[in-house]
Amino acid sequence: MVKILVDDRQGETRQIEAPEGEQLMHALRDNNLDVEAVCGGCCSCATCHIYVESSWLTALPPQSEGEVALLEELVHARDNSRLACEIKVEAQLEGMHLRVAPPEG
Amino acid sequence: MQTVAIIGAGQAAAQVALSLRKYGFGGRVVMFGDEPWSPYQRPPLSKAYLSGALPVQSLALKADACFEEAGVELVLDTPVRRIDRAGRRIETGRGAEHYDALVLATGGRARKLGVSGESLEGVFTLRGIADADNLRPRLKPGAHVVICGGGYIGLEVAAVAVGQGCEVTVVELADRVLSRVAPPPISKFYEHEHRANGVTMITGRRIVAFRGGDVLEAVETDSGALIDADVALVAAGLIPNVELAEAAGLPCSNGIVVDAAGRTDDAAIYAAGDVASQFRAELGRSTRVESVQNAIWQGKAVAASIAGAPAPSPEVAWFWSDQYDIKLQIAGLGGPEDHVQLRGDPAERRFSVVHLHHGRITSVSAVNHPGEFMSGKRLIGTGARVQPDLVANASIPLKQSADTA
Repeated sequence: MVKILVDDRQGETRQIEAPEGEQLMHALRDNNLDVEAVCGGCCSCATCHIYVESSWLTALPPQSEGEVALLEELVHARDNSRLACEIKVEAQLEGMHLRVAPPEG
Repeated sequence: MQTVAIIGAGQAAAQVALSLRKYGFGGRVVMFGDEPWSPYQRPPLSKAYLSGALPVQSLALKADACFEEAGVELVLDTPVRRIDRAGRRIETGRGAEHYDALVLATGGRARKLGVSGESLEGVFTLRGIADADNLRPRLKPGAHVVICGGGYIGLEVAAVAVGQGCEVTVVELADRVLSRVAPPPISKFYEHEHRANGVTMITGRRIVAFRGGDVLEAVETDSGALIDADVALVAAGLIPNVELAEAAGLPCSNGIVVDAAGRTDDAAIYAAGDVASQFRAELGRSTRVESVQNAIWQGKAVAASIAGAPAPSPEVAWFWSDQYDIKLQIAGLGGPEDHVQLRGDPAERRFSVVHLHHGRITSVSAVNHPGEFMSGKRLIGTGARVQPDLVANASIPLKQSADTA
């Protein structure tokens, strides 16, 4: 398990445990953080949109074309936006801090 | 203590259960599933789960702990046999359960063709984990596979079977594949892609029989053709599981009829997901919508109504399909009178098709073009007026077609 710090949509910070080797989306989805993951993690819905604390961005896998294309169209996208389904949990992410982005509506 | 009983354990059922807690319902929540599995995702059953790329535990909608922590009782492998509306009870093989509110999230089952030989060994349908587990070992290299129906599931399975080295034929009754769910340019594109991958595509033909002794040998079409078959998949759509509701005297019309909150004719009984028929303003009529998004949204709406919380905002219906390396995303339901605008060149395998009605976008089908899907979905949701000449110009991003005047 890899410990991740998550600011939920109410602004509270929680520490969650993310299973190593799985999509980060799974851990957010299973921890009652309002991450709906409608498409089940196939980079189709952007409901697992997160903001990653900037110092952690370089530790993450690069973005696919599909992820970039989806993020570009999100109203709430920022420079530190990622989709959690596109991030595999690895030991080096221990202590990463992220925020669940607002829903797109 | 109040009890909410949920019949079904799929996407809509799970959403009702968890949303009830989110909206502050403090009573008992008990969910009855007729399969032995905790709530799971069905879309991968015709894609990554069928191909073997996704293990069964990855199908779970949520970790089991989520339901435990939410105090949701999962009663699995337990079909419900009857609803006693007067007594506010449901009856299972094991006993009876009282309810204060009841949610029917019974989904549907695969439609059969009703032709001779359909029960032969080798003829399959695909709706649940067990179906995919039965089908997977039959998709061996060189196996002759006939897919009866060119909808999402049929075409997704065709793509998986080709990937396993099978000889695949798709037979579609309509004059094009995906005719019920996508506009003609999308159908044409997928017919071309499947042919390019070695699939034999036959449209405008009806399956009249499955031939063989005890075991399937061939599929017969109304042209008289016999297509060699070791395996046939009947992928001809879904029949909503309305029987419990009908037997209880609830109005049904190709689905359980519900209002905007998901409530049936009986104020204590709701329905959500594939089985629910609800009025859709964009179509001007009631319909069932078979999509994950719809199951989630209706699940929330039902939970909000039961818990006395504000209804969730309306959402644009949307769908997706993965075949080969092609991602199709469709937003909106569209209508028969829409103007259909192609954007981009299908030969580039990245394009979209936009439906316009009275100056507004009603549907966007995006092939390998997720940004176009996302902006189209927003334009549909906001009801923005668009300029048709800008929509017709694929070199201008779709979001810039909105009328700002």
